[in-house]
Amino acid sequence: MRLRRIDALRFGEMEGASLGALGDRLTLVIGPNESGKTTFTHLVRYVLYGFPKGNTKQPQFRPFSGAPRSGRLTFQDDQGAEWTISRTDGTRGGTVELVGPQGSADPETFLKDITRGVPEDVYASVFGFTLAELSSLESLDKIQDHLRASVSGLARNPGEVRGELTAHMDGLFKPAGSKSEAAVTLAALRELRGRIRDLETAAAALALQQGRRDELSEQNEAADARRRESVATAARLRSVVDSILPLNDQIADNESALVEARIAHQRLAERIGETEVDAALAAQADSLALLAVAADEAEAAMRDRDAVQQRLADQQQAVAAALETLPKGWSQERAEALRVDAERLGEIDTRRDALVMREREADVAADALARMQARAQSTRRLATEALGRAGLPVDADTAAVRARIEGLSAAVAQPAPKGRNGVAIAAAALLSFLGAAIAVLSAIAAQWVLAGLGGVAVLAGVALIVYASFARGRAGSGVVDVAGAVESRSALDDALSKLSAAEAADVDADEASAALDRAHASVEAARAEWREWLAASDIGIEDAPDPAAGRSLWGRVRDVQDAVRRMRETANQLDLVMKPVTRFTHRAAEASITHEGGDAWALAALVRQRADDAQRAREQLAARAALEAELREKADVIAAVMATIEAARKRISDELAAADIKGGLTDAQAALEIAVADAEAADAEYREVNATYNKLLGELENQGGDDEMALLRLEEAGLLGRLEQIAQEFVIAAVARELLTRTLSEYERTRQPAVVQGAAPILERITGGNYVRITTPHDRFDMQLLEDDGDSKTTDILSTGAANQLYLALRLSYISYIQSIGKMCPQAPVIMDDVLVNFDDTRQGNVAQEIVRFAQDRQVVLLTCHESTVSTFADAVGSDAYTLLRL
Amino acid sequence: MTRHVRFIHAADMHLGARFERVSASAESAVATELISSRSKALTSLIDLCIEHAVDFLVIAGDLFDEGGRSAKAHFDAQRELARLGERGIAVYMVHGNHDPADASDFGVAMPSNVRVFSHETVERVEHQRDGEVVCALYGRSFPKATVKDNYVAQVKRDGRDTIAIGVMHADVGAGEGSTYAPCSLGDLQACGLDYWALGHIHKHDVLANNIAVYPGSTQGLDPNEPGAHGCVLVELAAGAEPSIRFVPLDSIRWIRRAVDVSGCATVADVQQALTAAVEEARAESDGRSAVARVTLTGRTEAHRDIAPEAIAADLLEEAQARGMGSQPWVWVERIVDETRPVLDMDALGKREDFIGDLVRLAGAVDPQEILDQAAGDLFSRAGRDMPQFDARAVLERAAEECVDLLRKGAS
Repeated sequence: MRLRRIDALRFGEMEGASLGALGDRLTLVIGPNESGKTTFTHLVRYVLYGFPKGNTKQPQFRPFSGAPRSGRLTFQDDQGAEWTISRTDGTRGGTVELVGPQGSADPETFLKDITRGVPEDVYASVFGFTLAELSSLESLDKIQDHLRASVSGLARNPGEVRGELTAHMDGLFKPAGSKSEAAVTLAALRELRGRIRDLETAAAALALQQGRRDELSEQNEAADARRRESVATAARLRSVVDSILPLNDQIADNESALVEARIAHQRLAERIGETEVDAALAAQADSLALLAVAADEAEAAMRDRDAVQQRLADQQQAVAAALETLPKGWSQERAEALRVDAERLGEIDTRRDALVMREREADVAADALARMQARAQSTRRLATEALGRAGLPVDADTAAVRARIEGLSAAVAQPAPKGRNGVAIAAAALLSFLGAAIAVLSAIAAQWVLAGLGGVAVLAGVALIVYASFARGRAGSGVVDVAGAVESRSALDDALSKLSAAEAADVDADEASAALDRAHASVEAARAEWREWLAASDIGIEDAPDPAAGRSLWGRVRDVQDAVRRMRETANQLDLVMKPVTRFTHRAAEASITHEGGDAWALAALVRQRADDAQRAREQLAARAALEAELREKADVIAAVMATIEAARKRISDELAAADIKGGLTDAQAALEIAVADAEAADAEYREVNATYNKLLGELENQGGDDEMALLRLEEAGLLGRLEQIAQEFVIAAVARELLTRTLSEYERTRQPAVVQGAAPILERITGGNYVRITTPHDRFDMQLLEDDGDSKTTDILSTGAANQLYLALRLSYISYIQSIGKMCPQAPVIMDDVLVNFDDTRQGNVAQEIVRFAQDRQVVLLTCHESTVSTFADAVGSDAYTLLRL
Repeated sequence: MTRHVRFIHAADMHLGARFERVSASAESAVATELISSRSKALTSLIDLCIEHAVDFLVIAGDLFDEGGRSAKAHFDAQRELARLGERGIAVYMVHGNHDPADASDFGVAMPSNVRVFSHETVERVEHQRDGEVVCALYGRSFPKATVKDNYVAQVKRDGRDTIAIGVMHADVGAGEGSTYAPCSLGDLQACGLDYWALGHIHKHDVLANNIAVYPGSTQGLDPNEPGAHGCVLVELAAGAEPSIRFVPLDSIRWIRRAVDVSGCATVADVQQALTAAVEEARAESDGRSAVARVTLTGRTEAHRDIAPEAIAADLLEEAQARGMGSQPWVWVERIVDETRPVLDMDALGKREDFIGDLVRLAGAVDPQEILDQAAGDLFSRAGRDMPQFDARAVLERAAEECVDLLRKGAS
């Protein structure tokens, strides 16, 4: 793979600038200052590794326009195909694109293949360097580190790692220092242990006080024992007293109870003795109770008998009173014997009803007569008045009136209507008369329909008369214009009318009177018929003047019969009512209870008294039995209390005996007081000794300082733990550094000579044999240059030119070496930017020959701004040995 | 003679012992709990004896740790054992290598109910109940911190014994080189005792069909004693195999967890794994507070990221905050970073370059020689406080560290 072309699309001051047609081996690029040589050198690296970030010290080459940086490299592979890789500013060094013969391809793989894993800084130092970068390798150990790193594929140079390990170790432990973590921790441990020793010393002093402690302990135990003993004695006595006291109280209580029980027993016995009971009578209590019930029943019967007797008397009086209602001569026996059957009784009723009907008709006729008579009087009075008004005498009759009317009519011019009206009036009067007659007769005969029709005819006749009269008056007024005539005629007509009515009324009254007479006759006939029938019958009530009286008499006889019957029933009831009384008197007699007077009431009272006595006797008997039972219980209680008292006395005696106390409770209490006093004294003594003892124990414990010591020991443990961690870290770092040192030594011994030895002849040729050998001591990071006269120089005293020549020789040797062993050697060309400027002409020529030789196996680009450099190359190796490009 | 006894067998309380490389003083709650944990275990032990109304308590050595020189430890023991005396419960004990007979007791005498076996010869002590001998106990104390003699072999069972119990602080199976009264399992069995109450090994262990038992320490002493610690309740009947039941007494539990972070690519991943480890530790603590030491292992891409001290401190602080954030708390005492970079050292060792040279050199050098060469100054300065290192492991890690640093940033 060869780099053929470099395009600065936008990079620094350049935009669209190119450096093309690079040769297979050495290409010299000549250009004036600021023509872009250094820019192209950096562009190659940046396209391969990415544009640097703004915060790095590397040259940025940002376009003035502010546009993103962009560059492109064109490679040609061994088959002649071109690969163009371009990079444009962006994140992570910029965006990379690759275009190969088949189009776009993976740029990352391509770049790895080109750079062969060589880090950028190594590339910048070894493969693409400017004079400044060449000169920046100020010390040989640094370039050696770079060389080692590049040779071994290390990310970091071993010297740097060694330095880091050393710094870490120094932080952990530094033999001569006092600030390392181990030193600080050990110092803290020492200080802590000093404090612990002090506490241990204090603890050791405790032993000296043990004698005093033991002595006090013995005193304490002895006092405690005395206290315990005296307390135990007091407790024992207190226990005895405490156990006796309730027993004593119990005895006292029981003795009181015993006295009470005995008194109660005595009283019960007395009450029993005082109690007299008629046992025989008590035994009859039940039978007497039953007899008392019978007495109650007898008394109730007697009360019923009195009521019945009263009722019987009342009924006897009722019989007498009923007999009084009968006609004289009627006895009870006659009344009881009288029997009227239903048929005859119906006959009587029929006759009675008929008679009543006739009497009622007579009454009606009488009423009609009275009415007719009243009407006759009324019409007569009206007629009289009308006659008066007509100027006629009060006794004038109808004929007189008519005559008068006729006379008057003659005086009137038109008599025609008069004649017709007169006929009409007459006809009407006739009609009225007939109607009245029919009505009266029909009423008398109770033919009410005909009577009604008669009434109607009367009214019609009267109406016709009035009408005819009126019509006649009107006709007269029309004919006779004389007012008087008219008036007279009217009065006459009125008088005639009324007079006619009065006469008709008189007729009616007469008819009514006749009808009344007939009714009376009919009544009398019915009564006669009753008497005849009664006489013909054998009923036995012949003294009844009419059927109604007969019916009434029979009714009263029946009342007598009913009263007699009720009286007899009551008399029969009286016997029944008296039966319980009879039974009671018999049972009382059987119970030998009698009353001299035979009075059942008195007997009942006597029986009830005897029954009550028997019941009381029975209750008294039961009460005495209860008293006797209570008496027995009291006796038992007395026995139990006496036993309890005896037991308590026995226990007291035993307790005292067990406590070895002579006497009784009082003696025990006295002993207890003495024991309590002893215990208090012993306790006081113990408290005093114990306080002293505990005080010493407290002092001893405090002097032990265990809490503080425990904390210190815990801190000590923590420090030891920390020391362990420090030591762990330290030994690993220390062994690592030792390993690194030994490996470096081995590396220098076995591998570094190949590079250095390869550089020596290059340097010798460059310097024209002035420096013939380079040495690298194993124990130092340094080089020595051996001059041809046998003198040696260390690198720090070399001139800048000689040093640059050494560095260049080392680079050329190194690149040749790693390429020979197949290690990481980029396929990009080695680019040198004006690295010959510090060399004299001779050495420039020597360098030109070395570079041409070096370029035989690889692509090299040498950029310069000096025409003399081109001339030097042309003179030294001939222009055919390189490709010349001008910027 | 009654043919049944019930007792509690405990050992290795190490009252007053120093703490071993524990980082806990910064958290007062943890420090307080740690400091009081051993005495609390003793109190719990006494409570247990009372609760079960045992015939006696056996303490098979190392009740105290004289390295701590603690007077308070003796006061605590005196007070607690006296509680048993008040209830008529006897205590039979031997001195162990940490509290030998010649060690100072600060003048604090044991209560009268405590019977300490002689350090001059094997003693036979009869235990009586209600005036009747119920069993015999055989034991011998350590006269000093080292005992090379086989005390167990000196025990001869009395023919009168219905039940015989041995009480020894001994190193069973350790061989003759041990300085802790070594003996073999065969020695124990040969004595024909019914039960051997042993002490010295801090992890509970049952040997030879229940006849020989290490109850373990009553409270784990440091991160190297993780898991439950306590005592054993023993029911012993003549002619029958002992019935034993382990009863935890520890108030605080030590937990060691190795967290493989080979699957972690970032610091956040590691932190997440640590959080999970903390919660696992909490679950493992059986309701107790716990002190955990977490070791990160495995080859991980995050190896270089978690290496800086500040990051490691942040991870520790976060884990501690998580652990103390809820109850029961878990104090992450330390995070040990044993992670490795993702490297194929075998392949790298075949390369003909600088790294290849380094890997091959690491495989060829004497680990101890290079360790002494590299860290000799520190060893000299730190003296006995310097921890022991596995030189081979250090060399391997150092080589990987070198390679990782050299390759850092390499594509």
